[in-house]
Amino acid sequence: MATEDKGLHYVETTPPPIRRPPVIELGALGWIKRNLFSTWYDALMTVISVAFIFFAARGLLIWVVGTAEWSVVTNNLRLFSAGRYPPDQVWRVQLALMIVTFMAGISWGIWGRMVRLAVILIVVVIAALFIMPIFAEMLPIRPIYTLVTAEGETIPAMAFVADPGDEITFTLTPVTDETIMPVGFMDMASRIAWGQIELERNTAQEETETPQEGEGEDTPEPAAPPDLIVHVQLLDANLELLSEFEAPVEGGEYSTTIRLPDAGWYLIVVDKEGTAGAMWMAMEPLEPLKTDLASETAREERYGPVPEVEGRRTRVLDAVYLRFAGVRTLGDFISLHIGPFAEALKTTTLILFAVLGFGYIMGTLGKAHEKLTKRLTLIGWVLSFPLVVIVLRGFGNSGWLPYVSTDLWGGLLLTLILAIVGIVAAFPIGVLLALGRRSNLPVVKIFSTLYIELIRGVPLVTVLFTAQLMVPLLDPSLANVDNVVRAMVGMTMFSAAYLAENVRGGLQSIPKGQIEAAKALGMNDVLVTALIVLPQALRAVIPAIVGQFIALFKDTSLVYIVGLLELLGIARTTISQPEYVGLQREVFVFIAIIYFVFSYAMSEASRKLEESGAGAVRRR
Amino acid sequence: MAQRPSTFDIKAHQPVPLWRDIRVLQIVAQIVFVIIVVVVGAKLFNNMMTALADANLLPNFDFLARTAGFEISEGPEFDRSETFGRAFQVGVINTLRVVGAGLALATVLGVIMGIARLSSNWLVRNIALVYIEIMRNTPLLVQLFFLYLGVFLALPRLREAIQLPGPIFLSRRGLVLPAIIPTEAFPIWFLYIVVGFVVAGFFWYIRTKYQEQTGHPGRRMTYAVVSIIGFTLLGTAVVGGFPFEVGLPEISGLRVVGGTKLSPEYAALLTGLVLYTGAFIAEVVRAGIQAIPFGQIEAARALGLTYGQTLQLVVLPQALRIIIPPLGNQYLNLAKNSSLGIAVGYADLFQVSNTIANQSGQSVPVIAMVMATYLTISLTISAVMNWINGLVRIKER
Repeated sequence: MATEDKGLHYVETTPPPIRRPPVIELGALGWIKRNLFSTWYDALMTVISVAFIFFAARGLLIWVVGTAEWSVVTNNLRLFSAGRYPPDQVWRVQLALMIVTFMAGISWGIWGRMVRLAVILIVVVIAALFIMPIFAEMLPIRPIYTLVTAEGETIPAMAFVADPGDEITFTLTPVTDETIMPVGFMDMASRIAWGQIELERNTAQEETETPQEGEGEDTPEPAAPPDLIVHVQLLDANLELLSEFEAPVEGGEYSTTIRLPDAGWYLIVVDKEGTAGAMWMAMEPLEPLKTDLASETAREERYGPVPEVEGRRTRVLDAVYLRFAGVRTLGDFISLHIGPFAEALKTTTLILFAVLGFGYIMGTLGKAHEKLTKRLTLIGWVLSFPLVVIVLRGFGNSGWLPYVSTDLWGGLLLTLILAIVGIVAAFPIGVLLALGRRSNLPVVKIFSTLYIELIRGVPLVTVLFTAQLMVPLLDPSLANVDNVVRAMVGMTMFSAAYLAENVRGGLQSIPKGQIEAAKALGMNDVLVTALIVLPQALRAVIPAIVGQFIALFKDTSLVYIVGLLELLGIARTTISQPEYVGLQREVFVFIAIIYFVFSYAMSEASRKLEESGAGAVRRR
Repeated sequence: MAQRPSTFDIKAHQPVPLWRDIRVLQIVAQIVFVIIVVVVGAKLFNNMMTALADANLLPNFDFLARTAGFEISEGPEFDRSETFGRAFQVGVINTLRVVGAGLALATVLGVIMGIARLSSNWLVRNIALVYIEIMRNTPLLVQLFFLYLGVFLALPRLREAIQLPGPIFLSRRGLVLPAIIPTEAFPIWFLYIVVGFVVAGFFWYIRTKYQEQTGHPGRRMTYAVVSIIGFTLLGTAVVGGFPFEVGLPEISGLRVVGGTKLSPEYAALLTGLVLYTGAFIAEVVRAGIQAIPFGQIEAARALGLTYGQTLQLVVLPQALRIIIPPLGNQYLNLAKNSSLGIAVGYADLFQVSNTIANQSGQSVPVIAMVMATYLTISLTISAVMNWINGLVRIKER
């Protein structure tokens, strides 16, 4: 190999050609090819998936934007969040929420760091809360429609509220064969009457398409020419006539605008003459479903009682009486549902974000004395729990924190309280059971094992039921314990068994050498357990405990079966109100979203915790 | 030299005093524990008995022979003149009906979704992910209510029932499927199938032995499948056609004639349980398969194993070992969650027992019976799963 070097050294003077690095990243097309069309069956599955997604998304969008009645959610937000908690005391729930948010902010400041995603999320939420109501205000509101037919029953007097200077425009349009159903708010009677008209129209059409053979005898009589005359009166709250007009069906479209002088109730009285014909009466701009005045009580507080005609209350143009008819556009969706929803949530959410941010800043500042701050935060968490309970429950007869029975707690508040109590109260019992199960005292071991396996072998509902039934029987002093406390006992008994199994897993992960070393140092069994084994074991099972908390959070929905009004119970009571009948899907989708947001956020946090290694510091 | 204490020094071997003897202490501790448990338990039990006696409801099981006085429209025939004991039985049968079907369907769905979650196709993978996350992060009870009130009871009336190919009728009154009714020749045909399976098992055994001894491919799967199919065909030929009659449902006026009817309650509960548990099983399957190091698959391919062989001989045996224990947990959860049937009005064990307790006033014995039944179901499932787990465990020689 070693050929003689003749001193001919070759040095390259020109730099080597610049070559592009090899392509590792795929372009968009390459990505599509690799991930969607790598083989023929891959391509087939992609096509099927795209079709599936298209139809599913389309159906969902049409439902969410076009037809779902989300007002049931917006109008009942207080119920969903706190149940039957006295409305004038709801600030206490908010205060409790602020305490917890503040502690969360501090903890975030110390242990976590601001993730870009979280910041973006918060900014987007705040922006949406501000923009949506403004946007909704700018969009026009659909009119209210009433169908006046010559044959139909008389239309009851309708009441509405207005502020001084408001104008109301009446538009009457005769119904012809080409008229289609208008899009707007409509009462049930009009819908039914319109359905009748369409039915007649269809049968008439079918008859003309398939002319009957045996013509002659039963030819329908030619319909009478429409001669309906609609007479409308506008009265004020004292039943004094403000304005009136007549619209004959022959006159074509009729429109008039009336200015309303005062704030208060007004009445619309419709009369009709004639034997045939029908007219749509549109009234605009009325805001029958104004969120802040959605309930009749809210209106009565501001505008006085609903006027009576001949000793009877009149129909009020509101959510009870009217429903949106036809498919909404995106604009309608925003102005009717998103806007009011954002408006209702705005203040609370902003305050909570502010508190969270304040806590975060405190936490980051506290990093200067990290050990002290961490210790204080832990103490704060421990103290916040009784503090929250005191704020929510109040004292017997104090002036500013009156007693609120746990029977009145409900909604998301009760769901969260049950889950937290379930895990916190179960913790000591669970740890004892886990230690008991690994004990070398056979009696204790058998007892713990029996308890754990018995509870784990039966459904939670039966445990809740047993608690419901047995707690009052066990001791005369417990005879009057209310439902919520009984449910808490059941949840605690149940989750203690599962917690015990989690902790046992942690105990098993401690190497035997640790115990032997501690014993060699002269520690007795109690000290070994308390100072060596438990701290390591508990740290190792933090992720498992978070997972159990999520499961427990979802399981709180079962207390509905024993008659508590937590989130699911409230959902069921809401859809049993007459004005919200038939809106189950909206309500269940809404509470499913709440459950989803909470459990997904918690499981993500737990995953982060696991990855960061806080749960496994000593496992190396 | 300093004098060392003699090993025979009596003083050094003085017995440990009783109050420091660990064995004595342990026994004393246990006795104290037992006394505490017994005293507290007796006190509570006594209180309970007094309270029940005051209400004139001392627990006993006589009520089981009394007439029920309520009706159960679900499952086996039951009318109001039968006893509470029989009502309880019907409840147990209904629970087993939904649990059995649920276990089978949830396993199928879970395996499909778990594999879809690992698909190389981005869309398929993410559809499975969305399904799993939605199901896992919302409570089953909410899903059940949605399915029952928002889907099954929102279906059209029977007269306007949705007809799917089959024919399957979907209406507010439930699901109607074609019924499969075995004819008289069924037992003979079934015998052939059984023989087919026995022969398949025999082939499987000897071909495995052959493969292990000679190293040549045994093709045990082919042998087994061929023998099963062969015997099925043979049996069909002997009997003369498949020994089944298909009872096609038909809507006549306000009722359905023929076919198998599933009530909306059963359909909603079964769908809910399957969708919910399926998502959890999918995660179990995904984790099990992902736990196999990719090097194993590469090594199998390098040895010349085909894709099928890799799956059958390398991936599945190892994945199953990881999958079975958590899968058993999911099965237990499904069985226990079937008690949520009460929310949709399905007459299962829990709902029927609830009615029995209300009617007879004997809540304590009824609750005890319910718990014992669920415990039996749970223990049976875990025993079966433990047995299967033993089959796939690493056989250490």
